[in-house]
Amino acid sequence: MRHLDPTILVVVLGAAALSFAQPHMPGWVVYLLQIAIAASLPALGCMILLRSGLLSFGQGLYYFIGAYGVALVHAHLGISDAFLGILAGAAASILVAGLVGFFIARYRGIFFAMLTLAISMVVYGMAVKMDLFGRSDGLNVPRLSYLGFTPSRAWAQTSLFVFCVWVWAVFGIATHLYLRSRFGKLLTAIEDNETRVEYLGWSVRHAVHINTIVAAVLGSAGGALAAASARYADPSLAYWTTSGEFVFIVLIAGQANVLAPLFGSVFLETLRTYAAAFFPDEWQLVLGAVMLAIILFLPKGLGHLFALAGRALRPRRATAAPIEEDRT
Amino acid sequence: MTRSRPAAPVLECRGVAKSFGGFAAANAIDLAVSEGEVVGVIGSNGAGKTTLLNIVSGHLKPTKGKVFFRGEDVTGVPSRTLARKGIARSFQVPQLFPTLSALENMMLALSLVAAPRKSILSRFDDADLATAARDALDHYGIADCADSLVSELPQGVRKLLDIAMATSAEPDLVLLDEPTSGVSSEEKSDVMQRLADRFAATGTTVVFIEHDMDIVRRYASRVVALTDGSVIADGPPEEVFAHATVADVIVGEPLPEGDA
Amino acid sequence: MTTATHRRPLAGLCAACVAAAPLLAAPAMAADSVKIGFVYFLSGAGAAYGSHARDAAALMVDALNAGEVPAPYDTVGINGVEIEPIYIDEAGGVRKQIAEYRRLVEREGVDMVLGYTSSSNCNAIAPIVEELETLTNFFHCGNPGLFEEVEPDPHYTFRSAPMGTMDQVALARYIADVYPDTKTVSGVNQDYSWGQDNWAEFTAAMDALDTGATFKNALFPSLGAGDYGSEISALASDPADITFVSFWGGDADALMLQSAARGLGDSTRFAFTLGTGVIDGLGNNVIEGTIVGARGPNSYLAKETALSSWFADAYQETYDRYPPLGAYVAAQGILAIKAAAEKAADGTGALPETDAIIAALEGLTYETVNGYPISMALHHGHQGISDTVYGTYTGWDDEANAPVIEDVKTYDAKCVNPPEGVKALDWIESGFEGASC
Ligand SMILES: Nc1ncnc2c1ncn2[C@@H]1O[C@H](COP(=O)(O)OP(=O)(O)OP(=O)(O)O)[C@@H](O)[C@H]1O
Ligand SMILES: [Mg+2]
Repeated sequence: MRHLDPTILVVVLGAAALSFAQPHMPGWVVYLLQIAIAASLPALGCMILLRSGLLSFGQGLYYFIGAYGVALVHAHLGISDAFLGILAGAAASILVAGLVGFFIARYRGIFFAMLTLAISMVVYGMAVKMDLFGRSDGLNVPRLSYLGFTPSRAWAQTSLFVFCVWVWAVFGIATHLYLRSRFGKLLTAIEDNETRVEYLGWSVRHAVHINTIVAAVLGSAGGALAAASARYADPSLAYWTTSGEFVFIVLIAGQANVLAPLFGSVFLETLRTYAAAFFPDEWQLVLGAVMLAIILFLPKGLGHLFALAGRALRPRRATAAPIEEDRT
Repeated sequence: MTRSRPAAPVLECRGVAKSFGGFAAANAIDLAVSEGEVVGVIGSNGAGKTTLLNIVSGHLKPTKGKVFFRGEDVTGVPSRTLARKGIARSFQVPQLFPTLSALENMMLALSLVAAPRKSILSRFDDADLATAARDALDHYGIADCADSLVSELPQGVRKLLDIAMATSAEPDLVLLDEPTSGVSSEEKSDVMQRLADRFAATGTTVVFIEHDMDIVRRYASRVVALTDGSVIADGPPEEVFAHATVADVIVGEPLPEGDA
Repeated sequence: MTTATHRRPLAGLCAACVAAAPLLAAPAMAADSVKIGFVYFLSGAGAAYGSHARDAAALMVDALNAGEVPAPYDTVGINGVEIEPIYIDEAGGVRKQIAEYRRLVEREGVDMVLGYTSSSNCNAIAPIVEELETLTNFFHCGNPGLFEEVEPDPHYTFRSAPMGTMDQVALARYIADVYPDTKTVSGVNQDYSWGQDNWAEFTAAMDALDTGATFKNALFPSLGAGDYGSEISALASDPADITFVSFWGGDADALMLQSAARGLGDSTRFAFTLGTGVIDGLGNNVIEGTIVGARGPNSYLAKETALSSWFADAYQETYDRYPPLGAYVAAQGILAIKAAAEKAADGTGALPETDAIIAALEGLTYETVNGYPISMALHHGHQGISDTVYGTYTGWDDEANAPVIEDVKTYDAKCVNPPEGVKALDWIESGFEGASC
């Protein structure tokens, strides 16, 4: 190997730094970051689907499944282990996305978006009526243990935060490797030209199906972290506005790198807190206006700001020239 | 050709027909192509040439009839499976990935069709893969354009890139849909010569559609003429070009009277 | 695509940290005031109640700080310490609400939090309350499950508002008393926990009272449906003597208006557990003969005392309208804390320790602005009960510009609330064992 991948380096160093910084952060910031981390995983799922040009408005379904994985494993099996909770949700998501994928992998564009939305809304509609899911009041989630280790009350928040950070790190790095693999490139190629992909010996439908399942696992991991952080799971996780928020995170952050949704999610949560603190009556209006402004003036997402800043800092490096030379 | 002839032809169509709605684009086409042959398919616009290629390469299912590849019935088998069996196909309108560079297009082709499936999770951004792709482009003389975005390439280069990608897995049968269309007239024979050399060297069986009759005369070992979805002539070039309807309708230079 | 952007993310995280910095700064400590976080629905459908609740809270805070509230609440602020309010919108979902709650406690450093209408928010926040050890009074949510299942051993969590169970039990008793000929009952309830639970409690209560009434349609349109054409058709084609409705907000107004337009009032008698809210919204468009409750004896069902008259007048003067039920409920949330804090205090001028306030609030009986005292009688003194009232709306008094509500009946707190240690639904199904009427 030549040199270490910079994204992996950033993730590992960032996770280590956050883990050590946790004791110095106020509890509400810790919670805010946890929720942002949780929401960024289904958003990352949206992002990988968007690589093939597919807009999912149903990532909330897997957020829901992941959250209830933690809640139900405790309610019915008495297990409060964080790892088992995540695994339960992931297994259920693989099953659901595996089945749903047979059906939706053939659709594109608005049909894909509407179908994913419809499926998650059907689940929402059933969940609010079922005692299993606590109906609209939801279910509470206990304090988690970690492979047999149950942190004391004082350490519960630290343990959970470190858990969230490293779960993200693992999924973030795995997704980064996935996107940078040949399969990741295939996903991008699908948006460009499905016919050619098929003539290159790969089934577009299988690739989309697999990607749907990977996105589902990301969504469910996020849901598990959300439930563990809020200590609560309710059907609104599968509601379309929740899914819409994930799409929004990708829109505002851009989709160049796996860290983009995390950045977008932290930005969104911070913005929401600010708006609610300073404009208790109009916070939703303020939030909407800021997001609209970002989409209007930064169509490539906030991440593009850094690209612009980078360009401004290195004005000498001409980027367009080599292409012109090649054209001879 | 010094190879011993296998029992079954590389490609065989038996009574292949395709209709769109009520319109018959292909009509009971019978065609057998043997190992190492270079078959030129000619016909006027709308004669059904591309339709035939679409059927043979698995892009379309024939309404009637059967397609065999080396004796195996491959009727209705999807293009992705045929690609892995060794049938490669280039397109009349190049089918590329326009947001990627020429090099990345080639790298994708090499890592998808020309590599074992299990390597799909290995790194795309890989030096060896890039070198192999650059070499493949070089074979077709387009390595200079490797770093340009496909959407910025001239038509002739796109055409070659399309063929380069299609043939990246060393196929047994290559189907080319108008390989020289869009290529400037000076470069045409150069391009065709390059392709002919390449496929002759590997003994690859080729079926190519072409409107330029000089090219067909020069490179085809056999010519198939289509009109309204039916084969009207099939044989050595001089024979087919001597056919009255072919000369009149397809070539557009009616034979001198009494010459037929 | 990826290579060009590798260096963005780190910069991104840093920017987010910088952005968060002002909020991270240590909160300014002001020992000369009691900081209270008030959480009401200020936007969305819930604002139908929340905005009145906030208005009432603002009115009460100003009046208490000015020492204008009549006895027994005539000391300034809380025990002589001025109240500093922070208002938060309850809309935005559970996970946002937890973030807001944590911000109130950990960033703003509030002494206590009063609020929460939605039972899912109450359920979700209760464990966080105990974790953050901040006195919190759920002023309005009514689901018995809060203390029966979610937080069975509360310390910092209180709910001064009586449970919704009281509304259903009292309504069943009211029907048995005032409309004893009732043979059939239908229900229209919103399709979420609140609507489902209310219908279950009400039917159980009717059965337990041996009214002999049978149940016909049980309809559950979705929350915020807005159009009830098909429900009204179902009710009209097979009308029951009484139609039970636990709708609130715009849904309640829409159902009433659409039913009135189609003359449904001629074939069935509606019973709205939050009926005074509909009167507030629709005035004389409410179908005459509708049985109305008010989530307790609030609004038009309040009893006249010096305190309740003061409240109604002050609200009328400030907001130019008669106080709706949300206003009453918000006011009593504040009074519960004030009464407890002042009972716990040695002398005026300082807020007692949280644990002292909690000890005083457990089991406390305090006066409220509707004239009926609330007793913190259930769940180890953490859950309030009170008498409640139902009546029948018979028309609009143009002269007084007020609704006419007749056949008003008051039910004793112990007659319509379960005794300590018994789950609400179990109590109803046991035939109200231990009730004293
Ligand atoms: N998918 C389709 N649906 C309907 N009609 C089609 C379809 N594909 C081809 N056709 C029709 O079938 C006929 C044969 O088309 P085809 O593309 O095979 O012609 P061609 O011989 O390749 O012509 P050209 O030299 O112009 O490329 C044409 O009339 C065309 O319009
Ligand atoms: Mg054609």
